[in-house]
Amino acid sequence: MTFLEHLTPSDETGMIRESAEKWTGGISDSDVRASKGFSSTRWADMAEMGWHGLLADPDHGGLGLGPAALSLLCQAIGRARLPEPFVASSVVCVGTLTSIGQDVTALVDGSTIAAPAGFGLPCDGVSSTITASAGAGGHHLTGTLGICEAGPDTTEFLVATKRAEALYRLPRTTEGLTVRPYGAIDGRPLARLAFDCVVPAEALITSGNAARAAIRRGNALAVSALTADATGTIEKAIDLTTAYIDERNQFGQPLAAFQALRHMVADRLVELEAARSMTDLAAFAAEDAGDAGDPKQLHDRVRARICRAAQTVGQTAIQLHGGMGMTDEMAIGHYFRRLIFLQAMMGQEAGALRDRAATLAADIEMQREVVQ
Amino acid sequence: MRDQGARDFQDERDHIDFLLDDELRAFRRDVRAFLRDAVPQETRDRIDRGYAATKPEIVDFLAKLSAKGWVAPAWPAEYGGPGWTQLQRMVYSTELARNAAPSIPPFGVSMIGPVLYTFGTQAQKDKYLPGILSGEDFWCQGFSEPGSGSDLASLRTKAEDKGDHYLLNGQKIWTSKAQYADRIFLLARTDEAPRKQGGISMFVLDMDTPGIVVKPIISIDMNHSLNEVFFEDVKIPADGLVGERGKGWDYAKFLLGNERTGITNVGRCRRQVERLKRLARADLIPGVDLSKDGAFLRDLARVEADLTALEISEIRILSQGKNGPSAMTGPSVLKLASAQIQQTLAELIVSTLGHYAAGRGAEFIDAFDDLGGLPPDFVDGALNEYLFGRAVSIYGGTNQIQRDILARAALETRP
Ligand SMILES: Cc1cc2nc3c(=O)[nH]c(=O)nc-3n(C[C@H](O)[C@H](O)[C@H](O)COP(=O)(O)OP(=O)(O)OC[C@H]3O[C@@H](n4cnc5c(N)ncnc54)[C@H](O)[C@@H]3O)c2cc1C
Repeated sequence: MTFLEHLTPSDETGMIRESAEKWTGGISDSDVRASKGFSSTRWADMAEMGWHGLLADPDHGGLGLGPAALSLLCQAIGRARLPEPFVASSVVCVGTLTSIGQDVTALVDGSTIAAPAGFGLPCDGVSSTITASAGAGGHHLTGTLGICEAGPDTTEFLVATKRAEALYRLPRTTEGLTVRPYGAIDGRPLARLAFDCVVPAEALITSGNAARAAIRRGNALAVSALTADATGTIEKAIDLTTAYIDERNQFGQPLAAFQALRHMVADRLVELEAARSMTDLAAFAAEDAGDAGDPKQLHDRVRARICRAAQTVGQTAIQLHGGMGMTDEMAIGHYFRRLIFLQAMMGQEAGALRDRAATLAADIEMQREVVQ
Repeated sequence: MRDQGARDFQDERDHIDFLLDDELRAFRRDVRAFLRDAVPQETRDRIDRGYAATKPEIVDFLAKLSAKGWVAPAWPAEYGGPGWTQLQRMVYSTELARNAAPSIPPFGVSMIGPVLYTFGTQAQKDKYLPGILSGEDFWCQGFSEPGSGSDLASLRTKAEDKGDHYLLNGQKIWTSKAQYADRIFLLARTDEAPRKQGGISMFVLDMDTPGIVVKPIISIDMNHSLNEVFFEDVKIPADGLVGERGKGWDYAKFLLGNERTGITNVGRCRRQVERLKRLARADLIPGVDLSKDGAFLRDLARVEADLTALEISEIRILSQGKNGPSAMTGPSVLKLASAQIQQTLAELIVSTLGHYAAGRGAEFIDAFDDLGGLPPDFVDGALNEYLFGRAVSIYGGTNQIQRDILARAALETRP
């Protein structure tokens, strides 16, 4: 598929977009608030629409679609600020497992939920600190992970070990696996994981180059999905803000009449387009399963740009709401916090720039050597 | 977390040391010796990490300050202030922040106090100033209304003259700390006037007066400091009128000037620079040593240079007083610069947290308790400060309003 083809949604992808917009359009802000981080009804609805299996093969009950469709879905999820672990389970885990031919039927029908641990989320490619050693009774996993998108309903973990050497698939009930729950800044559940467990050899689902390729796939899908989620969130934050300043009057006129604010809105529209472009780029990069060279080259730039867009749009949205922007009651503050969550999961702009700068420095060094 | 540790830092040189003479250094020694004991360790830790002080912590601390006569550093001696110079005040506020002391609530000390001693009656001075100086009376500010934020002069709360009292009806919003305030100062319309600024009067009132209802507003950091305050047929005794009837707008402008210069928080900003250095050593981002990260250091250096300029601007502008060249624009300049610096510092702090910026709350801290001394509690407080800190460019007149004031002072043309 060429990039221009990628930019033109196929009929199937177009249908996904339509159904996503229709469904999320029926979810109100108070519904989202009331669900406090997870709604099993919504998870079941998503299953019914086939979303959990978007990336899965048809013989596992999936739709067999690709990142382009996924990206549209994640934008709709961001716009509606749904807290469910769609990216964690249905994108990163289903996508990674599918790439190595694992059974994902239960994930696809919505009866189980998986969380990636040590890869994918956060998506800045920081490598896992979990170690594994094979012994007589099985494989011994040790180490801790500070952040994993796992909630009370998570049933299994997909665990990457150090340097992406191996991928394990473990049920939540694994003895010696401690899940310590806490809340994210946007209200969804997260957890810190501590591993000190001996697992059967079958838990190791892939290792070596195959594991590295699978984990790369998971990371690429995560970057694409989080970027798309951020773009949807940014779009909605801008919509809420423009609606607010069109509505609110001060000094006998709508706030939107003040040029200072109009220009701020205009600048944020520039951010939005950059975000959309990075979303298309990240989805296209994820389309190409693995042989596009070093994806980091691209991911660092995507993360840097989307994080900056998220930051400036979020802050502007609060500022333009004045005191109302500071309240928990208004939706805008929740979008702001979702943007903070997404930035953290992408390693923040500073992290992305740091990574990119290191690559640029290496490029410069190489050119110097060539010249000499 | 107290980085003074066991060593005696009584004479430690700091960033303003070169501005001080021996007398000021001796003054600083006194302040340091006092504050070292006056702020309990637990309070110090919580505040250092970005949490708001609780009311009991504030009460306790103000009582200690009051015994020294240090509650209202900017007040003239004749009204019970310590009569300090601008440099002494600078030293004092730097030391308060360095010790992560609860901040002195501005509503009594910086806002209504100066209005009362400048425009109030003798009876009002006698009645209200002592409670402010002792730290016993908590005040809140009833200016903003749902329909009147930036356009404050459009306010609609009404106070009808009934002879021995005014009858108050209407609503205020964003009233910080009203939930535990003993008194409120407020603006209300007493007369219809051709200009909307005319006809506004300022009042002081006890919060336990019948007819006042306070409702909480939870903010985006999930804390409660904001409120709505409703007035239904509240009787303000006639002697609650401040100064002259219909002159409320002038007093409000006087008060807002003090509010704006009072919220520069340069001391806390200095403290934030120190926290940043510490967080840079906490290695929260795997594989990254921020103390060697050029981009981080450059950002820190830039905001620290901005802060230095702000510190000096504050001393320069405030010591020149009412007749100085920056008297009209000073408060807006200081407020704008400080809002930018405070928000940049909070952002930089969040950028040192890496992935930890995703988590929030007590469970988050508990989940890491086995690691001993790890920063998640820094982390949670830092996010608190980042989130609530978005308001710095909103309260006390938004950044946009400050820019309008400055542009108005410089330009002939009116939009
Ligand atoms: C944390 C916090 C604490 C507060 N504490 C108090 C308190 O204790 N007592 C009290 O009385 N008030 C308090 N306030 C209220 C504060 O003063 C108001 O929020 C502020 O004046 C802005 O008013 P608003 O919220 O109605 O926003 P609006 O005036 O509706 O402004 C919304 C946006 O429009 C912009 N805007 C408005 N007019 C113009 C213009 N002419 N040109 C360009 N842009 C414009 C603003 O800059 C802002 O970005 C507090 C507010 C906050 C957030």
